[in-house]
Amino acid sequence: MRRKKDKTVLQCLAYISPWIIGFLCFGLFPMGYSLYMSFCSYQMVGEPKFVGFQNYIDLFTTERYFLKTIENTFVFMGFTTVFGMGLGLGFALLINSIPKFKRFFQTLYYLPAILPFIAGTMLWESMYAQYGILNSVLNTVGMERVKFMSQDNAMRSLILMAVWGNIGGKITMFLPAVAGVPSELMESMDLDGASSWKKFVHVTLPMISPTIFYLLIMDIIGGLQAYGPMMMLGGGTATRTATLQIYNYAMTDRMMGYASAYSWIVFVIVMIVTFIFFKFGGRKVYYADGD
Amino acid sequence: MATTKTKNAFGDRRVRTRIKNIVFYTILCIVGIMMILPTFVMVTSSLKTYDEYYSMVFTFLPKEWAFDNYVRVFQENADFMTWIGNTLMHMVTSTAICTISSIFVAYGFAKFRCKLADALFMVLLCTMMIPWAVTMIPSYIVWARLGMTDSYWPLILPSIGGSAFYIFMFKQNMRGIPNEMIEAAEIDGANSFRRLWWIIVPNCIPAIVTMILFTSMGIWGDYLGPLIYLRQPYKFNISLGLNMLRAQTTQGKQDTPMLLAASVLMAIPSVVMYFVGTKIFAKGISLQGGLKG
Repeated sequence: MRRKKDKTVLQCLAYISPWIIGFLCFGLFPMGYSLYMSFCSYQMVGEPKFVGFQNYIDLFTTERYFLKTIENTFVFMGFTTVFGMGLGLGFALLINSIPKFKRFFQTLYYLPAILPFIAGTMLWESMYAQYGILNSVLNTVGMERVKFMSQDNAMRSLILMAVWGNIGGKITMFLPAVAGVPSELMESMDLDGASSWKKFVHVTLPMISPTIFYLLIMDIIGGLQAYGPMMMLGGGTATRTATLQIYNYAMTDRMMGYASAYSWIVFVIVMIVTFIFFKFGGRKVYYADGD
Repeated sequence: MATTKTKNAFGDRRVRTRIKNIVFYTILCIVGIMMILPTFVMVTSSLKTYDEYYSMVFTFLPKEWAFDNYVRVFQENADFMTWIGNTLMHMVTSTAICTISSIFVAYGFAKFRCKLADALFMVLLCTMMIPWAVTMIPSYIVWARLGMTDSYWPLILPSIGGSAFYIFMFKQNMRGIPNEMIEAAEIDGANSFRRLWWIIVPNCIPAIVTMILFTSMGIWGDYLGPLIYLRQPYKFNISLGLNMLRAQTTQGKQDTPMLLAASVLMAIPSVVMYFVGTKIFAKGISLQGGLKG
């Protein structure tokens, strides 16, 4: 019996060894190295020089962009999450309640998400450009040109673009959840004469809460690390997120130690937000199988 | 009296459902058009001549269809075919390695349950939370010190660890396969690898195909990964290549119609993969249902 158990452990380890190797080489080791690097000064020449907490002290005292980038990160994450989730759930409910063409609409709304990142970038760049498509539409109907990527508008423009790309994925995740709400529950609520809103709040919402929870976590983790759209479409300090600032410090300015310290602060923020969310949001999730 | 009343109520209800449907379809159509419009405008703009595009008079359809924008993508950018080749090479190798690893790892987690495996699985789930920025910098430093930047190695090698998300999905799938089937094979003398190959894999085909297609789509459109490591234009993938073209200007302006043509060309394989993928996925679900029944 004992030998059989040992054999199971060995076989298990053998099969998961690719992941263990990958995790050690490309997960754990870089993380440890990054933590060490965050206490060093290193500009890709010579050897890293240990400087203690200097990078962290600098970040909290002299870093001009620190608060602004954190604020931008949260603004972008917050708005894309709220609009993406709200619209995604709304349209999933609409698509679920129509009798025909469900698949058609689902695919239609998912199309933006299929576009490769760079194609989407070019598309929106050409839309928002000074002599671009949106401005030529405005020009044709006799309206003033708008600077979509000016300091005032840039964040809104980027959020619009992100939500446009997001909704389809949300709908795809919400649809099976919404369709899985038992119809008996709905019918019994009907017999009690409950309004649609009541049915939504008391039946649909609790039944799909695991999906909402999962999507929110993924959105928060992903949203706090966003940097692609800002990097491509610009917007300067008005849209620069923490991860983009880290990227700039590391790849342009080669301040590897400083950028590492910056990235650890973002990591800690992600962990804290996720933890708070699990702690207070997790309670509200209803699992039908009692897990 | 009573019957007419129920009849009325029924009629009422049918009218109400009808109105509701009309309203819902209208909303879905209007928003659907808004969702598809940017992509549609991208396609039509890619068929406009340079002068018409910048004329600031907007028309949906081009006055003069400039199909040569698509020809110019290849003619004016000698490297375009190289970029496609590089992307395909990266896509095939990474996807193959990542998928095979994920299958093995998921099998280990799903069918050889022990305390150690359960603990490691929690670690695996937690790795999904590590921000990319934290591992990006040290990885870059190490690859640079090994002299392996400006190659595809830093992009391909990490895929040996598999993908946490798909390992999770495969594990769920594999746990759904009845243990009796596996035990029967064990009694017949099949070792663990044979059991994986002959019983587990055939039952997970839909999940595997889904992973292959979505991973391929991701690598086909990958921009941010290659951006860090690749330097010389002839080593670029399509995304980096297109980004380089973005910076080039004609008469002080970007040659946007040609860029949009290139974007459309690049988007076509993604769209095809998506539609093939969803077809197989839908089929796979019914296949699984038949198997369980």
